[in-house]
Amino acid sequence: MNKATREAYAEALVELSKNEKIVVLDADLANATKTSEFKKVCPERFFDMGIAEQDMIGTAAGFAASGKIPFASTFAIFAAGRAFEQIRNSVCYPKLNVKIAATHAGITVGEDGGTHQAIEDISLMRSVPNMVVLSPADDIEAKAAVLAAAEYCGPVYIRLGRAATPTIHDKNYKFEFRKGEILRHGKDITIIATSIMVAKALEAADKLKSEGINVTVINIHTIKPLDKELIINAAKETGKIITVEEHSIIGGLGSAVCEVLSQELPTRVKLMGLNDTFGQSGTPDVLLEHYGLTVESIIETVKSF
Amino acid sequence: MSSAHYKLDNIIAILDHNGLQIDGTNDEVMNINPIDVKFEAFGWNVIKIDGHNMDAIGKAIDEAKVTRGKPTVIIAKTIKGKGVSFMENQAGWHGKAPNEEQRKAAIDELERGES
Repeated sequence: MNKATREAYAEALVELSKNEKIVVLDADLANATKTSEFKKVCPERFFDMGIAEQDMIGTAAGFAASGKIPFASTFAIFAAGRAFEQIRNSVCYPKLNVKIAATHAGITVGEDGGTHQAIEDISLMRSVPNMVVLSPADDIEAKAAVLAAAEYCGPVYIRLGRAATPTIHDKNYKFEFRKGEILRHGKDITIIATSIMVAKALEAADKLKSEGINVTVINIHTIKPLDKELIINAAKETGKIITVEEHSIIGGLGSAVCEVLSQELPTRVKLMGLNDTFGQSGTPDVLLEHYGLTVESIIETVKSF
Repeated sequence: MSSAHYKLDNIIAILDHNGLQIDGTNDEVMNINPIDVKFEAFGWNVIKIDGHNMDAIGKAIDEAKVTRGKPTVIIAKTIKGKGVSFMENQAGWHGKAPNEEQRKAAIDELERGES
């Protein structure tokens, strides 16, 4: 099945609406972020702050300080970018219980183009102390992540996408906060992926298996705090790591993996992602092809390691 | 904008209007006037007072408390560093702590001013 993580976010919010403490904020993008679904069932706890992301985050901080559990949404570029200082100084510095569910992350935003395609948000958010960074692989994991975020006490950034993407988990999936997920086990090489690239890594791994190359595939849904042990073990076992993300290779998942390994167990890592370049306008599939984020390019990277 | 939009009449903002900022006066660096008109245009109730008059401050807050449907801003005109001759209305004291000599002189002036 193909379903967008932002749709799963909406489902989770509707489920959470029964909790009186939950409030939802948006910045004039409710139909795109899907917080409009929460507004339908619970208009009295929905607050559109208009095209004013910094005000939205400040207001969310105020709600959290008053004992509410606010979910604030907008596009990732505006959440992590425009409201960065408010997230840092008004949410993370005082450790307020604000959840920032940022949609339209990465290049699969598509036609809106480079100005709207966040490829730096993981980098920004994980460098702020007290911030938890979640990057779910599919709709099932996204829903579970949102529900887990509501339970967790402290700032959370959840990275969601615009485009419908393949479901890789089944409905009995148990989301384990902070734990990386081993989806395939092989001795030759490890692919560590996040969000939409996990499905592609799996497809690549299965194709490679038929050619005699055995790949470990790890889904990292919690980029911060990172499951360091799992990554070190994979490095020990396979000796070769490829990271894949719909994000710049500067500062994202790949960088986080490199930080761990170079300190604990120096291992050669190849980083797949946007190579210090902006995205551009196009359909999601054409863009993924253009920026080398496909099953074929993962296979090629494995073979040429 | 959002305070007025959501009719937050339980908000009282106090603007310490001393006309100064770090790099100089507001007028020199980046003009903010007419600040009262700006707040009114954004839907706030505006009360202008002498910021050194405790009675006026109290009355303004009382008025703000009974104002319904809009937030209130009390624009309090002040002299930055009032009561210390070498600090009054001087930009440059924003992030600067007085040294021991200056501190003594300042406290001295303020105490004399009180008597």
